[in-house]
Amino acid sequence: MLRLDGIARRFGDRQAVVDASFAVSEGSVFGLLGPNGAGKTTTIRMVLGMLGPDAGSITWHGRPVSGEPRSTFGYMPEERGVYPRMPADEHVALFGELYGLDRTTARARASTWLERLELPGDHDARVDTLSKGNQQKVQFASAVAHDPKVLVLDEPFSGLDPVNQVLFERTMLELAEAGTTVLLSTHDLDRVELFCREVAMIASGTVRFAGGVDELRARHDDLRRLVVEVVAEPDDPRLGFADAPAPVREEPPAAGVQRLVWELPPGVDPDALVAGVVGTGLGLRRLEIVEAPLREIFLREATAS
Amino acid sequence: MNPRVRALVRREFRERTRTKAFLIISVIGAIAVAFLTVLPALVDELSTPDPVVVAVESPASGQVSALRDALPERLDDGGRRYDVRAAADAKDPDLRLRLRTSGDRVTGVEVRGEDVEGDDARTVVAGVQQLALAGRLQAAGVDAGRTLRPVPVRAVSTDDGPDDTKQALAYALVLLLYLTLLAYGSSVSTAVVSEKSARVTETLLVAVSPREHLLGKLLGTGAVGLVQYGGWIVVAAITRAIAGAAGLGDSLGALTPGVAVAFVGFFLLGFGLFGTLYAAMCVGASRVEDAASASAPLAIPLIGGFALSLAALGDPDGATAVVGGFIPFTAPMVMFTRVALGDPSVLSVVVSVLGILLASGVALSVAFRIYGAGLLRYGNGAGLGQLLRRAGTR
Repeated sequence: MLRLDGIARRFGDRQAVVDASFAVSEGSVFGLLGPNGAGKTTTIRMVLGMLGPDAGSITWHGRPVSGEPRSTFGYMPEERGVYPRMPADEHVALFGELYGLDRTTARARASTWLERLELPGDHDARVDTLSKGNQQKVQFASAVAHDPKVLVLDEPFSGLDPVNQVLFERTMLELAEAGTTVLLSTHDLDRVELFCREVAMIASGTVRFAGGVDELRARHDDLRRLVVEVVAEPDDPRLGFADAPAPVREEPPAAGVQRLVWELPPGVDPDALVAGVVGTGLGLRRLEIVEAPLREIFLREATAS
Repeated sequence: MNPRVRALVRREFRERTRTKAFLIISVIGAIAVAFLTVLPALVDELSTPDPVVVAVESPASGQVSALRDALPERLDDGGRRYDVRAAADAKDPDLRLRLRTSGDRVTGVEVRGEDVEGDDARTVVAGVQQLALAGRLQAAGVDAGRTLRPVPVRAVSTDDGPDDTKQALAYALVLLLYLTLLAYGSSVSTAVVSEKSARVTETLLVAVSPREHLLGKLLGTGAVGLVQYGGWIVVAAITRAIAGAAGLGDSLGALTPGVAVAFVGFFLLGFGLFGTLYAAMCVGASRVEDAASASAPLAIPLIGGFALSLAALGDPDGATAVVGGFIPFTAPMVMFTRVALGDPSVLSVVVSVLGILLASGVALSVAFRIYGAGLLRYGNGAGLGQLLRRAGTR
C-alpha cells in the first residue's frame, strides 16, 4: 500500500500542500482529483521522490519512498515531454535503462511495448516525426517498460483520439489487474467514475476527501436526484401533484412524455414522491434515483472554503 | 561508472554528434587544422627565391665547383643561394649572371633579369676574387686555408620573446581553448534548458537523481569535445605526414607531446569548471534565450583568461602570466600558455591544476545543491540565490 501521512510542502510564502493523508491500495486505480493549482502536482512529485515533504511521511509497503529503488515508480506527466530527435524505440529503451534494465532487456521491452500500444510504422522513427498521440504512446511506453510497481499518470487520456483513449484505458486496467498500483490524476471525472473505486480530492493544498467513491457520494447524498418520466402532455393537470417540493422540468425526452427531476436534500422523502407519482395514474416510463455525479461533488468540494 | 549516468552520457553524445551543426563544425575545423598545419610551410616555400643561376665562361679547371663551395648559403634556411654552372647556353632563360673570366680573373659580368640585385653580382665577383687570391697565396707557399679562413657567422635573433613558430602555435591553441570552452560551456546550458523546455526533465528525474543528470550532461558534452579534438588531431597528423612526404615543412614542429597533453588536460579542467558553472547558472531558466542571459556573466572570466593568455604569449613567465596561472577561472588558458611557451616549475603547474580542481569541486557541490530545485522550476527564471534558498528546503 502507498500511504501518505500528514505530508506538507511549502514554497517560499506559499503553502502548496497541507497535512495531506491518503492511502492507495496495491493493484488499484486511485483517482487524484482537484482543480488546477490545488497541489496535485506537488503531491505527485513528493510521491515520486522528486521533492521531499517538509512534514509527514510517504511510504510504500511501510518503507519510506525515499529509500525505494527508483524503478518502483513510473511517471507520465501532464506536460508531454519526449526527446524529439531520438528514435522512438531508443527513447523507450533509454528510460528502461535509466530505470535499471540492462540494455538488451530494455530494447526488447521497448519493442514489446510499442507493439502493444500499436505504434504504427517503424519503431525507429524519430519521435518528432510522430503525431501527438503517437508521441504520447512513446511516453507511456517509456513510463512502463521497466514494469513499475506504482504508475503515476497525469491526464493520460488528454489529446488522444477515442480509439487510442480506449487503448490506453484497456492498458491501464490490464496493468492494474497485473498488480500495478495506478495513481490517476485527472479532471476527467467520467473516467474516474468508471475506473476508480477510491479517490482523494485536493483543493487549496488540503485533502478534502480520501476514500471510496461510494463513501464520497454518501457524503454528498443531498446531490442525489429522483428522475421520473411520465406519459403526459405538458399541461396535464395531474402533474400538479408535485407542487411541493417542485420538480425541475427538463426537456421532454419524447413527444407526450414529461421528465421531472427532484433534488433530494435532507427532509425530502423520495418514497413519498414516488408514491405521489404512482397515485396520479400517469403511465410511468422511467423512475430512477441518480447518484450524485462526481462532477457536482467535485465542484462543491473545490469551491468550498 | 553508474549505469544510469552511462546511459545519459551515451544519449547526450549521440544526440549531439548526430546533428548537422556538429558535422559542419567538425569538417570546418578539420579543414582549418589541415590548412593551418601546412600554411606557414607553404608560404615559406612559395616565398623562398630560386637560386640565382651563375654561368662561368671558360672556367679554369675546378673553378666552378670551388666557386660553388665558396659562395654563401641563404642565411635563414641554409639553402643554395647561387647555382654555379660552367658556361651555359646563352639563351638559358634561368641565367641571371654571366661571368667572363680570363684565368683566375673576372673580366666582365653580364646581369640578366630585373630580379637580380647588384649585391649578387658583387658577391659572385668577390667569390671569384677570393678563389684567385687563395690560389696565388697557395702558389706563394702561404697556407691559404688558414689565412683566408672565413669569419664564422651565426644567426642570432635579436627578439627576446619566444620563438615565432611556438608563439603562433600557442596562440592558435589558446584561441581554440577559449572558443571551445565558451562553446561547450554554453552547449551544456543549452542542453539543460532545452530539455527543461521540452519537459523531459520531469520524467527523467523520476528515474535518475539530479546529480546523475548533471554528470550525464557534463560527461556527455565533454566526450563530444574530446572526440572533436581527437578528429582534428588525426587530421593534423595526416596532413603533417602528407606534407612531409611532399617535402614541405609544417607548423606543428613546436607541438611537443607535453604541449599536446597540456592542451587536452587544460581543456578538460576548464570544461569541468566552466561546464559546471554554466549548468548551475542556467538551470533556473525555462527557455534557451533566458539561459543565454543567465550565463552571460561567465563570459567575463573566460574573456579575462583569454586576455591574460595574450599577455602571457609575449611574456610567459612575467608577473601577469604567473598570477593568471593561479586564478582558477583564468588558469586553464594562462597556465597552458605558460606550459607551451614559458618555463613554469612543476610545482606551479601542480598548484594551478589543484586550484582549478578545487574550484570545480566547489562549483559542483553548489550545482548539486541547486540543480534539482532548478530543474523543476518553470516560469520566470530563478537566480542562484533563489535556487540556493529553495534547495535548502528540498
